[in-house]
Amino acid sequence: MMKMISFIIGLLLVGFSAFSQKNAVFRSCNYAGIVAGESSPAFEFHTVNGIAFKQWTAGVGLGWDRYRIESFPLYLSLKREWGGRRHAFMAGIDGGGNFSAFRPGVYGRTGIGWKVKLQKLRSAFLMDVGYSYKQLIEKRWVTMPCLVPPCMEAGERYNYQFTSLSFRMGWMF
Amino acid sequence: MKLHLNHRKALYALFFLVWLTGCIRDKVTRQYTIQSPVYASKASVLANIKASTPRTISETGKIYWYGKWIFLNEPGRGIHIIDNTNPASPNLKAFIELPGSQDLAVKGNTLYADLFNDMLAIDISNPMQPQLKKRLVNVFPDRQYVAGYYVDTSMVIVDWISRDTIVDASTDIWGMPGFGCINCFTANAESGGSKSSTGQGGSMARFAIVNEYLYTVSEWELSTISISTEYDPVIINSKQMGWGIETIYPFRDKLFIGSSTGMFITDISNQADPVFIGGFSHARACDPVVADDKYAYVTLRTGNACTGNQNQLDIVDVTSLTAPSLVKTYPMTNPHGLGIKGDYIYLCDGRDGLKVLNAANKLDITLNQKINVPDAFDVIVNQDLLLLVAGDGLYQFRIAADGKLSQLSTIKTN
Repeated sequence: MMKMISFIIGLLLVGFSAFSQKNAVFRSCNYAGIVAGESSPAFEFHTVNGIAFKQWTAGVGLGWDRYRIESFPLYLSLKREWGGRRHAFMAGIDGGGNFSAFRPGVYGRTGIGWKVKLQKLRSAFLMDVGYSYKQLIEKRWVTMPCLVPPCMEAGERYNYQFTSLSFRMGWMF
Repeated sequence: MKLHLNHRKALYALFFLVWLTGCIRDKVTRQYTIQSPVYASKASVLANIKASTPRTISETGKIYWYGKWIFLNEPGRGIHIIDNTNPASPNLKAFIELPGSQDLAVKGNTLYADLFNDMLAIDISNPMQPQLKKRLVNVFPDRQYVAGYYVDTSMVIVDWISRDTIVDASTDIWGMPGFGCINCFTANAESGGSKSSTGQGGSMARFAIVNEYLYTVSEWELSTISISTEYDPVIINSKQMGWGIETIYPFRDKLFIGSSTGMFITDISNQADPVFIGGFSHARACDPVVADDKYAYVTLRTGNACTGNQNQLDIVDVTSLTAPSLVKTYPMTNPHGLGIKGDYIYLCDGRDGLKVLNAANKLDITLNQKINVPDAFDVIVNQDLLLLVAGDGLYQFRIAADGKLSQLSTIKTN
């Protein structure tokens, strides 16, 4: 947990320092993609909004991840770009919480991607591939089987941890 | 071909991602608590029945109100004796250690309590020096099993040892936690059972005293026990009632028996020989019941061993005892015990607290007051006083003419 807090604080510091610069601009990256793991693939949708400064972009992301158990990741995102005017290679990392009908868990993603700038539209086409991790905690109460009631109620804690590949395409403006 | 620096970085990153694909996995773990019983010989437990100095209440159970005394069962551990001379300031006086106890009733100077499958008659003329007077063997045969464990008749369970366990549940074929895991439970075997009251018990009681007779229900039978000689209870008869018997409530010359499939009415005009005269069936659920001259009030709930999916209050017309009929059903949150006084129903609605319902019009019951307490379990209404057992302690209220409650005191659990 301390690592997570340090990570979030680090990202916030980067964001604030970028925002204080004159060249900082608002960025919105919106993705649709597929999450593929051991189970059936599922769609995911994300929007990351934040500040871009030079090659760095820091923002807050909100997603809708339908892999196995529908959940809504809320996270901080940090991304760096390398490249020229038309094309750029990107690498980024996301980290935060994963919210669902159960108790919150951890969400994380790291990925690389390619950006194609569309000069006329002042926007860019994005595509990336990444490795994502999402966790959900479920508390269940079940009545234990027994020969003679009253049977016991048992509390059980399920920890779901899904690691998967994520392929996304998106639009940045 | 010479790769551009950025291309090389992209390639390294791609290799890194490909390497990570080896970690792709859906991992599900299940954490539960295994509890193992600690046994002691029944002979040694019986020889050492004693009162200890009062102790804080760690878990509330059934209650029994007798004169200035309140008896509160601490499930599986024993009975708290509370001096209630002043309801605004009740005093814990003693604790009688009775492993495996769930139910109780009092007449005169005798406390009747269960010890797993046996029933005990204990002289409490001096509560600080209880004396075992008699033991009736195997009155509650269903209590031979405790949370899946068979308890030998010569042994009792005096404690539990807990151990947390984590297992991989990724390949759980049923997707159902607990399947085939009979020893997996977190609660003490005795927890969450019904709690109870010639004095007066609650609606969750399995013991009821009417004059010279003590009636008890086990999982499947109604036992009639003569207590004309208080210290010397004698079983008169036991009658099969079908499975799922849960509670017993005496009213005049009738016993209202709650089972998981319905409410049974037995006539005790001849007190030594209860006779089944009618019943009211409902969907499977736990159902404490109280009654007056015209109506029976039945709560159905889900949870624990109560299967089904209904949480409601049923009002049943019992004018015709042989053919009771449903008047109306009211949805509730998770109703447990209840009590009645005049036109008012005092209903423990689990996590939704204690509800005071105005039932002057049975077809249009309205909420008169709501007391927020955690896990409201059972009540006893005694004239203008109300005793409430909740998850966090024992509450007492004064009942006003308009049915509303004002709190007098609380004894909190630790």
